[in-house]
Amino acid sequence: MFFHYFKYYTLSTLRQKSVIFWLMVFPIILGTFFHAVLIGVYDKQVKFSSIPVSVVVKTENPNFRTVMDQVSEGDDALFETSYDSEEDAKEKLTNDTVKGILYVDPKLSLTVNSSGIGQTVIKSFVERYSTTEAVITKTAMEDPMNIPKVTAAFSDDLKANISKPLSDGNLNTYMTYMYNLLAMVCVLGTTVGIYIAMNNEANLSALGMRNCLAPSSKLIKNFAGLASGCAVQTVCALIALVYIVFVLRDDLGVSFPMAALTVTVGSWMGVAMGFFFGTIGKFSEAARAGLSIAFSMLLCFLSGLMLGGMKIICMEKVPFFNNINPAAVICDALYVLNVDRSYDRYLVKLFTMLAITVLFTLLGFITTRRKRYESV
Amino acid sequence: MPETIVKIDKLVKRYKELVAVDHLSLEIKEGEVFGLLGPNGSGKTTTINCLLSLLSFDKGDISIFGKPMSPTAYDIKSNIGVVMQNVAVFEELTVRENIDYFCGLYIKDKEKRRKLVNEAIAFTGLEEFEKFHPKKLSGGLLRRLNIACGIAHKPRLIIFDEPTVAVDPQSRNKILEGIIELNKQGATVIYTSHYMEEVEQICSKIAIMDKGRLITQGTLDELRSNVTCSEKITVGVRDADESILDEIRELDHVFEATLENGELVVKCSGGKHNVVRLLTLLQEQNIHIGKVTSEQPTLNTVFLELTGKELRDKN
Repeated sequence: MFFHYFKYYTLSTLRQKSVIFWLMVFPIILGTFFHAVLIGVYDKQVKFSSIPVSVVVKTENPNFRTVMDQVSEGDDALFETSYDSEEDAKEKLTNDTVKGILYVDPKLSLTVNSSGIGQTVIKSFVERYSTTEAVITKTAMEDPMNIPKVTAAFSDDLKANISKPLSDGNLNTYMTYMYNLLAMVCVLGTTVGIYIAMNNEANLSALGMRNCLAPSSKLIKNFAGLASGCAVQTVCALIALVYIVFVLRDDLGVSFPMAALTVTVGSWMGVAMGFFFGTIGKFSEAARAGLSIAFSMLLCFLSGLMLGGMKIICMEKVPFFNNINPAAVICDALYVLNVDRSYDRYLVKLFTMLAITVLFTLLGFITTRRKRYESV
Repeated sequence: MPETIVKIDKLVKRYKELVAVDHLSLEIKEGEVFGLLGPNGSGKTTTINCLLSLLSFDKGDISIFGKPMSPTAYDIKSNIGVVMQNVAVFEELTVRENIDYFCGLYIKDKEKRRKLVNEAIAFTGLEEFEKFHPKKLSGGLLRRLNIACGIAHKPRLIIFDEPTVAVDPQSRNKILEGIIELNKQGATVIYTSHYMEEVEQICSKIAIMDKGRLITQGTLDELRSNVTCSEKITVGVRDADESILDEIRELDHVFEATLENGELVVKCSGGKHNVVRLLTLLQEQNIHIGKVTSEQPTLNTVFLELTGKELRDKN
């Protein structure tokens, strides 16, 4: 009997237009939008690129020129160096074409127009060069073949000052939108849960009434319905995940199996919530579906789906709610996996999801445990 | 003596202050097509829902197939089929899938189920629409699908709760023929409806409810005998005057006689051979007799007389 229910619930759920749109098509559209509009912004705004600098040589310093050539070479060059006359250099600085002017006379001096990361790096370079010039000079004189190694170590040391990440994960801040997108798919599982509850309750729908007349236990019907709902919902969430990871090729900073585990448990949580909401009150199926979508989107909004800063506001103003907001919990689980690279905090999030799932499932079973109804 | 299939004893169901079913007692025997009639809000559907153990009730006992009915009486439930007032099918499943789903709730064996589903499809004439989704079906076809889902497992007791609402005459006729056929195949049927002519056509026993109470029950003839006017005789008379009316009123069972424009109208309360007695009297008085008609009251007449003509569903 379980498999009979499971088969037909799965078929009917998968054929619902609202399920196809909200759980399969909409996430793909939104994911494509996020990918096109937001992910590229990070590359332009945040990723480190070579710092343009102008060098004005008043007195030639071959050692310095050698070092500058070394740190200005390759794709990950520290500087984009141009040798200019003083006038040209000043003009470039005024136009902000370069971040600073290095005067070689033969000692180094620096002129900048404003403060910023680029200027700080140049200043750091000048200080480091000045303190290590003796070493480089000595190396150049005694063992010129080792100059590349010395300069490389020198430039690596500088780069570390500006770009050493706090984590090995993907620090693209816009990736949280993708986490929110996956959370949205999971939380929209409420529509699936509501569908199951309504079709098993005689006081909620004609179909529920007919199902209640069948000679089988309501527990089996509800379990089969929930299992079917969870399966459908998990497939929908995995489709969204596969689309992000393998089609859009966005790096979530999380291994695929762990991300899949997270959205799977998140999907169950969404279905369990819907199952409970479907059993309370006496609204039509359409009204319930509308309310559940609105409620799910509100949870996602508070988790930062539409406005990244909203999550920070919630964390500061209503931390407890943020810790139990299902959408936020899913996002946080993915985020801690990406940034922390340790499972301690992740397990807390995972157990929170499981606890919410069990809680709503139990509440749903309690509200549907009655055998007879007061009115139908 | 046919077995009692359904026994309802002093059933009471209240919705707060409103008594929806008031000490209702009914017995339905095997092989009957039992019509449950009543105006809107009379308690028909509430009675059916209590009978099916969907609704809790305040007092009374209900037994089906000689056993007490309860929500977990699966052996009883497996022999009941219900065709509800509202069409209850999955919009996303095809006609065949829907019938297979509901049949599968009762029949586990796949081969047997396939045979029963095929029979149900043939019985309701849905062969051409097997792969259609309910949204593509007309109102009549949808009702037939609703019936197929309720009867596919060949139950001993079938409950039809107003199955012909909003159905065209052709589909209605098909449905009524189907119910008669099911009854011939051995099913006991409980049929609720507002349409008196349907009940007259198919029911072997009828109960009339009003305000939660059982007003009367019996065969159609027994119900007709309950009303004041059980026969209305109309005779065309050319040369009679009103003096004959007093003699007619003296006849047995006659309670009203009028003469207007050469037409004599005589109303009788029960009794047999009323026409013969009247015609004999007219012949004895040498009155020339023209066209003679005798009308028995319809179920509608019975229903209105017993439940009153006051409109229901008033605010």
